[in-house]
Amino acid sequence: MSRRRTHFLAHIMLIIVCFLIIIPIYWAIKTSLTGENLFNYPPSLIPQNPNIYYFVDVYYWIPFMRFFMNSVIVSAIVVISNIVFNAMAGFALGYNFPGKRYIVLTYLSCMMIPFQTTIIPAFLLTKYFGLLNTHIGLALPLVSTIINIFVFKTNFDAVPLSLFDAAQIDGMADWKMLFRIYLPLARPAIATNIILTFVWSWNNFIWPLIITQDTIMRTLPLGLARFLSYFEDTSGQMYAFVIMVITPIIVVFLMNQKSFISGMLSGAVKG
Amino acid sequence: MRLFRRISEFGRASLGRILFIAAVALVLLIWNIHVRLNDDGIIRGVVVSPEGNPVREATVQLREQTLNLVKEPLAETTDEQGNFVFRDIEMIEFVISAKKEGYGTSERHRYHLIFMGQNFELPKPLVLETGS
Repeated sequence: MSRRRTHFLAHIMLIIVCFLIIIPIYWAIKTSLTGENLFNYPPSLIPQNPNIYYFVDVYYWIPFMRFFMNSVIVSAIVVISNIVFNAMAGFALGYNFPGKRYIVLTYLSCMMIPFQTTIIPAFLLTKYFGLLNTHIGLALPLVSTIINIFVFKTNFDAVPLSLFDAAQIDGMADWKMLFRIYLPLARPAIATNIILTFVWSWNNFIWPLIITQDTIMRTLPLGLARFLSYFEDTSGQMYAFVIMVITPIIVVFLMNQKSFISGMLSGAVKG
Repeated sequence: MRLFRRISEFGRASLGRILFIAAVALVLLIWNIHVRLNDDGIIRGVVVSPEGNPVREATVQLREQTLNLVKEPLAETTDEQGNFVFRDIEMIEFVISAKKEGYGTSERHRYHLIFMGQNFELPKPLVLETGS
């Protein structure tokens, strides 16, 4: 009886938490469909006269498709390069070699340095390579991320050593071992990489703001900032834009959530 | 054979995702076909007197509704049946009204389209009101 009661209370709590998380998203969707002022009193739960015109305005009043394609291209570069480079780094860290401890320590300490403090050298380097105002330049600071290197490393550590030994006896090259044996076994790590790097790249604001001078090279978060200069902050167009920006992130997460969760947990259960 | 087996295994595992992507692609395709078939930018309507009779040679003014630009209105004249047609209109929101000397002016109506250049027929006639 007591156990059933605990279950019941736990479910009530979970339902309340779910509501707390869903309500702001619901409100954003409702405002994007009605244009209703956020501070209206009394607030109406049911949308009054919903329409899609605010989405139409967003599409035509700013170069939405251009910004969208820029975000997609930059995110694709970031996701692919993260999978390749982080997997290579994670695989290398599985070996024992002189100075490995110092490399890991350097990685860990670099994780504590906020990006804002390295933004000027990053800008100067990007300028030096002639990558300002380019998609590659936009993706450059995120092409490899330390936390994801460790996600790959923990996943690779879980692969039985006998597989590695067998491949070595057969004379398999390291890169073949990585791409033919380790990577196919590390699908949760790949999913974690995809989701984390996609979200970081998609939401990146400060870096694109600094290195893009042409409007046509801007990404969606910069479009949102541009929108704020057009509209007051409670307008339906702004919320419609927000919904259009976050929808791809939600879709990517929903398509990979199972692998993502197992990828995040795989490091937790290792000794 | 091995390749076929691998493809079928991949297909089974990713059926939900493939169906989802296919559904999105299908919706986009249908939408694009619909837009392509209805994007001549034709806006039609009719002007009537307060009694509901068509008014010929009334001037209809159509002005684009924009955020920060004041644009010159476009004008057309109605035919014998009170009909008017604007062609090659590239706007998504506009205000339309009609006037004729001796009849007066109609109310201004604001309409929002779903895509640029959408063919659109005014859902109700522009009624000229004497004295307005």
